[in-house]
Amino acid sequence: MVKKVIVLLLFLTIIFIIWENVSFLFVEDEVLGQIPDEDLNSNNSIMVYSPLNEKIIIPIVKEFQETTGIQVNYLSSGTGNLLKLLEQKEDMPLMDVMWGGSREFLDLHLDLFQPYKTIHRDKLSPDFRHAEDYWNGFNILPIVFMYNKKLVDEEDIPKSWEDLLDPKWKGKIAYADPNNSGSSFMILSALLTLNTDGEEYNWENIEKFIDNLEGRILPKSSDVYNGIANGDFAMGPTMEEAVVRLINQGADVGIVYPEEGTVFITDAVALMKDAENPEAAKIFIDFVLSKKIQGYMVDNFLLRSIRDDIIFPDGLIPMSEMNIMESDATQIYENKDTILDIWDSLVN
Amino acid sequence: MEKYIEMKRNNFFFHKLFISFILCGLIPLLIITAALYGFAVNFVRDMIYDQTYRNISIAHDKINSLFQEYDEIIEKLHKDEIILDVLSGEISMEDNSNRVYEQIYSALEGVVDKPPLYILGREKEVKFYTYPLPDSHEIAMKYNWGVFREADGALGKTVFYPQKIKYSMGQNTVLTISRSIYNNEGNCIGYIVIDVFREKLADIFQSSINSLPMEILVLDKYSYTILDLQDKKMEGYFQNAVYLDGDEEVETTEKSLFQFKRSNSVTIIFPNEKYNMTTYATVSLDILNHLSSSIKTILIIGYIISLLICSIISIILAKDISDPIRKIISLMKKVEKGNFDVEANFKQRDEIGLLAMYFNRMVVRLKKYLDEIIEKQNQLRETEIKMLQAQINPHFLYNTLDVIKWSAKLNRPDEVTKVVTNLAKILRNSIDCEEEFTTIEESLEFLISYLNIQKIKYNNKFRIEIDVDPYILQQKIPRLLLQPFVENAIIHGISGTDKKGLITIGGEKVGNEIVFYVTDNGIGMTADEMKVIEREDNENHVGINNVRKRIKLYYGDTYGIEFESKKNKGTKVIVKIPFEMGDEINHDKGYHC
Repeated sequence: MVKKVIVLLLFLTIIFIIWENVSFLFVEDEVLGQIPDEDLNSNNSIMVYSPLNEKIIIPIVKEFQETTGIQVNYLSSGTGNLLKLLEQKEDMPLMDVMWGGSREFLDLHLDLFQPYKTIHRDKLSPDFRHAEDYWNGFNILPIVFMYNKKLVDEEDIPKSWEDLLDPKWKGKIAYADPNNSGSSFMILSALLTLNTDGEEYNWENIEKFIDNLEGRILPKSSDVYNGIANGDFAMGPTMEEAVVRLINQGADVGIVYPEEGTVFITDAVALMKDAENPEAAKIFIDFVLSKKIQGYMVDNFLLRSIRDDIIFPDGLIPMSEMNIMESDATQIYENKDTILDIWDSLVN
Repeated sequence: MEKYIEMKRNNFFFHKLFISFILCGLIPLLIITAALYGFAVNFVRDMIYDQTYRNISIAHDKINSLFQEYDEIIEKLHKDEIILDVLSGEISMEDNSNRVYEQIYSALEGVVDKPPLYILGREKEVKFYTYPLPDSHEIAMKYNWGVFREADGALGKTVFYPQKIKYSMGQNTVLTISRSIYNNEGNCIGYIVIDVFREKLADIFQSSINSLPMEILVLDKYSYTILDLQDKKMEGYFQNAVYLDGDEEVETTEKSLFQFKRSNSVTIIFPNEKYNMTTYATVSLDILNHLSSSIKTILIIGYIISLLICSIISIILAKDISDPIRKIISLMKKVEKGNFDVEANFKQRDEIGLLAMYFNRMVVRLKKYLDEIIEKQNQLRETEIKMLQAQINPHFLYNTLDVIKWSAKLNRPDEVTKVVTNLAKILRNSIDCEEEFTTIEESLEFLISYLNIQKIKYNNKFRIEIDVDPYILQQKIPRLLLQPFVENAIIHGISGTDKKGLITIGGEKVGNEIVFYVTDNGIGMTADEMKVIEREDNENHVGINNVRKRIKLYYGDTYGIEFESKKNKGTKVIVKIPFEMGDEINHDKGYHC
């Protein structure tokens, strides 16, 4: 009996072994090669996280790699997602450079960064770099009003932030959800700090604004300028770069810098405290702040440079002629969650 | 229990053979098919690999010759005096535009799918173009960006720079070929630029991969996607980057960003050193999987069928071997129980047949030996019986003749006549005694004759009563079974007393036995005397022992003689033998175990 069992087991084992030997042939995934990634962990590569548009990232990264020979691996995502990653990361080094988050967000997370005095420091406007060099501005994006010339008469062109609250624009204003769009939140913060009359925030403005929106809140910031350009909306606050691009492409739209002043989105670049390759990261920061890249950026993407020595693109008024709206943006960004909660409850 | 064990053993032998046969049948099959299967799969895979590699290599030859062709266009133009003069501003662009375009189109003559070609002045505002000039070229040249930086660095050599440029009508170029133009002083004064349409490259690959479905990815050394036949959207993007849509949740980047691993596929990497591009051809192994799964199915069905056939053959073979052995075992059991009339009747001429043959011979020999032994014993027994019978006759004959002598002397002719008549009967009985057995009736007649003689001898000193059940009269009993006891009753019992003697001879059937008893009212025996008589080796009582031995010989130890006696009262002898049914009596029975 025992012998029988042994024989049977032996038999099964033999079958099993043979089957094993054969079956590996058709379950195996074979990679006869993969992209050489020896640079990945070597000194010759850096990790960059960026919420910038890929159209901007790719040519600059490409030029950087080809010029310096340093490999750039990057993750491109929204600011919110990137911040979430930063909050979750704990002690694990995620990246060497945070490239393109807005300055207000970076201010809230200064402990994650280390100061770096770029070689271009003297060319940068002090308004757009951190006082202790924790971050440097990369580009400036003013918020402007855009209107469709076919839908808005000359005399009706909105001039000020107050116009956004005028009931005559009811249902005609394009605005993206500030939960999703950084520029929308910037617009929201501008409205909150407008005519505060000593109070911290002017929620009355917001209520009027929401009333004017008639519940049409767009998912993405690109829906705002595209919506105005194609006539879905008459006007709306949006990014200067988008309006100028549309005008250059021949769209029948107009641009207005609000009377009370313009707010800016300042995208900054910062060196991570736990950067694994800080030397290469510093080279990268210097590179993106160099005159060549800043000039290319202005010409190609119509973004404003933080460098003093770059002439702004055609069709844009110079920074010096712009009325800048002062506000304690950092403080508002600190309360972002609360503000958005209130916003959500007001909308609903 | 013993039977159970034997059964198990038999089964085990069968199973052992059965499993051995199956193993011997299937293992080579398994090994061979596994080896063949592995060989086939590997062969197909190698074939796929080779073919893919060859296709990609052909595609690259075509690309090389395409680039060569474009390079030759640049070669024709870059030394052209008119172009040089226009670029350096020695002659005006407006006046000489036609001449320059003439040169350009003559250089492009014969080129299929003419690519966009630009001649751009670096210092002077000079532009010649066969397609609307994309802004990106102008901006790039302004900032010495990309292809222009490379062209400057190449010092008059043609550079091949991967970059995606969007053209109108949904067309894209994926690669820019450029060369700096130098004036006589060696200063760069402009560039010749040719953009390579995506479709041009894609067609080359498409035509090379008609036979096998594969995914083609062409990257530069920084994993910039030049061409992606499957996912056009990835062109112009980096492979080693993660692009996330706004809504997508980001996981902490544990996953490798650089793996090209796809399930069930083989990726072939073909580097084109000359143009710094690497082609990743990913071939789906679905065909292979399809093949292997159908082979697997066939194999499994084949295994099942083989197993069935193997099992049937194994059962037949195992039975063929184990059955005769089991049969021989059962025959041996019969022989063990004493039945020698068995024969293993096999037709095989193999070892099993030999075994059966020798078994049969052995049984025959054994039977012969046993028969011889029985025969010898029989002869021995007959001799003994004859000797015993012979012991009786002379003794009695002497006594009787003595009676006749005295009767004659006393002149008693009647007595003489009677004695002689009865003696004659007795003698005839003895002469006829070829048969060892006789009926009880004959036996009693003999006894009466004997007693008649004795009565005369003892002057009617005793009386005789015979009380035998008539039912048993025809039963056969050994000769002279009772005579010794009658004789003893007369000689030892009655002759010693003065009183009138009585001898009773009885016989009846009790159960399966016939019981005879011979009683007398003579002197009887004491217990000590009884013991002497009951001793079987007593030489003084030849007659009793004679009978006792004969009963044992014929009927076995269960039968025999018993004595009951009291001093001065008489003696009773009880003889027990079996009652035998039917007419035929097996006289050999006593020898059976």
